[in-house]
Amino acid sequence: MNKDKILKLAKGFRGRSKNCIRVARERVEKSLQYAFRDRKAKKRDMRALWIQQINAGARQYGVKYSSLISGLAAQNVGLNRKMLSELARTEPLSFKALVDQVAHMRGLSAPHAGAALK
Amino acid sequence: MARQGVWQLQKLILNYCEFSGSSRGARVFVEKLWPEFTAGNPQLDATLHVHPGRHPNLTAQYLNGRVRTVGLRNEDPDEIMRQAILLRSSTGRKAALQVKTRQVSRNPSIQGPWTPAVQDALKQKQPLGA
Repeated sequence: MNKDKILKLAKGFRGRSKNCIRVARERVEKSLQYAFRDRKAKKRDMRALWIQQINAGARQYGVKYSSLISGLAAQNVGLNRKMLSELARTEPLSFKALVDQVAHMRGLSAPHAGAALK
Repeated sequence: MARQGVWQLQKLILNYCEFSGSSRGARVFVEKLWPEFTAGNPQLDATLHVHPGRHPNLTAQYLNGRVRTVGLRNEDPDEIMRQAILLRSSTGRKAALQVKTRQVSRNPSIQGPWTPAVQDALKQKQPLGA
């Protein structure tokens, strides 16, 4: 009874782990442990990815991620990192508008923005 | 709840004790609100069952065979009424609609997705403040 459940969970595993119950049992246990751990890690990983994407998007205009985030907070823009990364990817004009707003607030205009990075 | 004219809740049993403290609300409910509930729901096979020494509960039997039990330990009579109405308004199905917050769209981008070409064009534009 349990054997079939385990072998079902072991689909796609490498070598004997997917067919032989004694090996599969161990690998399935481990896979479930990884799944538990990584459900929590996924949230962290996604946030790190969004931050990287926002950073890359902002640096196109010579503004660093840290400046962008603190600038948006100062102007009471409530967009979270997930949404900002979405904008950077799919709505580049809107993202540029946000970055420009922060750059303007900080006194960095486009020609000088490159110097701020150096 | 009725589906296509057929009531889904078939039987409702209120189990309670005549002496214990946890059944206090249930006893008041039986005295004051139960007749009103039964009169308003003639289609329902509503019965009272005295179960000495046990906590009170409402047991609901549905058309599809599912039995739902709601514990009424230390509940107010109003709350018990609310639960009875809730059971009557339900079908025997499990939660049919799972909350899914992931959004999928055929048109994820309105302004056009980012490409290096788009970026070059954007770089030429002056910022609004300047």
